[in-house]
Amino acid sequence: MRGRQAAWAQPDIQKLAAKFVSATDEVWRLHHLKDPECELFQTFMDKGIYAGRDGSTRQGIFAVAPSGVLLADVNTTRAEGMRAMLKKALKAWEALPRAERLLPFDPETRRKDIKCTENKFPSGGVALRAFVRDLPRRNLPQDWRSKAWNVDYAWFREGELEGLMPARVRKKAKQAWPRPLVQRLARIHLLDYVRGQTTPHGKDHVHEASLVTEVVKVKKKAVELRFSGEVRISSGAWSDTPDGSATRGVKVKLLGEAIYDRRLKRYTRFDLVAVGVRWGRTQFNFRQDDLAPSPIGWVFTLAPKDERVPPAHFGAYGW
Amino acid sequence: MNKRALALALLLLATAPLAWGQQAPPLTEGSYKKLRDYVLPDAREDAWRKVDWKSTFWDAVVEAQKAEKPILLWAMNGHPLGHT
Repeated sequence: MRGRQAAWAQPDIQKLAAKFVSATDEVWRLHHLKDPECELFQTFMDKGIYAGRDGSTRQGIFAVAPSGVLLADVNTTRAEGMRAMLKKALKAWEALPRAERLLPFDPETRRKDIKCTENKFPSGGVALRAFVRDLPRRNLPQDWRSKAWNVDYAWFREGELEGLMPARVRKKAKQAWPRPLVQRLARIHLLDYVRGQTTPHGKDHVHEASLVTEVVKVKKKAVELRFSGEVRISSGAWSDTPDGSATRGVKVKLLGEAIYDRRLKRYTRFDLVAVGVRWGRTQFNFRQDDLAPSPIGWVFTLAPKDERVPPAHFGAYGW
Repeated sequence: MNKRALALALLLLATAPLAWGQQAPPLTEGSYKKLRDYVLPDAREDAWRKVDWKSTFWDAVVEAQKAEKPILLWAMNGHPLGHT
């Protein structure tokens, strides 16, 4: 993943990519399910590098006409391979007769038929991006794990974040976050996915989860807020000296700040930082030799407008 | 301040130097910004997002149809913009 990201960071590759309409998506759904989006993917997925191959994945980089005609594809982390594919695709596009380039219908009319989790983003809701990274320590391994970081998304229904403000908005007023919201944040998002995928915590793993909003400043156009709190989660009984051999968990303090625009009726800034220790492991998060408590940090911040990538564990939301 | 300098600053914040393997630096009003900046991707780590990635294939199909442009699709197990 990081290799591909490094290739996309190359300026000349970005220049080539600008000649396309670029998208990223989760491949399992496109490969296996049935709706207009998946079926279009399935018309070209086996026409290039996967032709004649069995296998469970169709991961890769595909250049395709809107009609579904495959222009070129590759599955590589190397910039040279991507560069070559993009150039080949642009030549193939130029050579493709105009009559074969587009779909015979307006794809916007089929959007309602697409069964993807992105379409479950709540109307009027807010998305945060959630970054996670190990904090500095002396015994980090000297390989990719020392530089690892990851990102997830957290979704909030209309009114959930606005409801964090005290009913009477005045300086120094305080309000506790609703318990279900803190629990959701703790169980589903304060997870150790620095190095790889992991699983959410069960409801009975939460030993402490509290967050409070304090009004810092009230202006005519905006309200400034401060958040503070603490979360303790463990898959076993709480211990102040966990070693991770039998349990996994986190113990963190949280601080944050936000600005709520009273005219726009939305947050223009929302940052929440969680810092503490993690321990233990799950099957795919690459902590098999790193069970003992070690420092970790998360930052939650507003996602770019219209970026509606579902949370990794959206299913645990229960929506 | 680059990531290396931030890392050194954060190590110095740890309250118990002998336990650097285990304790996190304290999260206070004073350390908040340093810790926040350390966790967030820096410009080099975020450079790949200069490509204007749509977050679904169909979003690109709709736009490419209107603009009469080819589509570039990066498809992974786990959404490339998210948790991998």
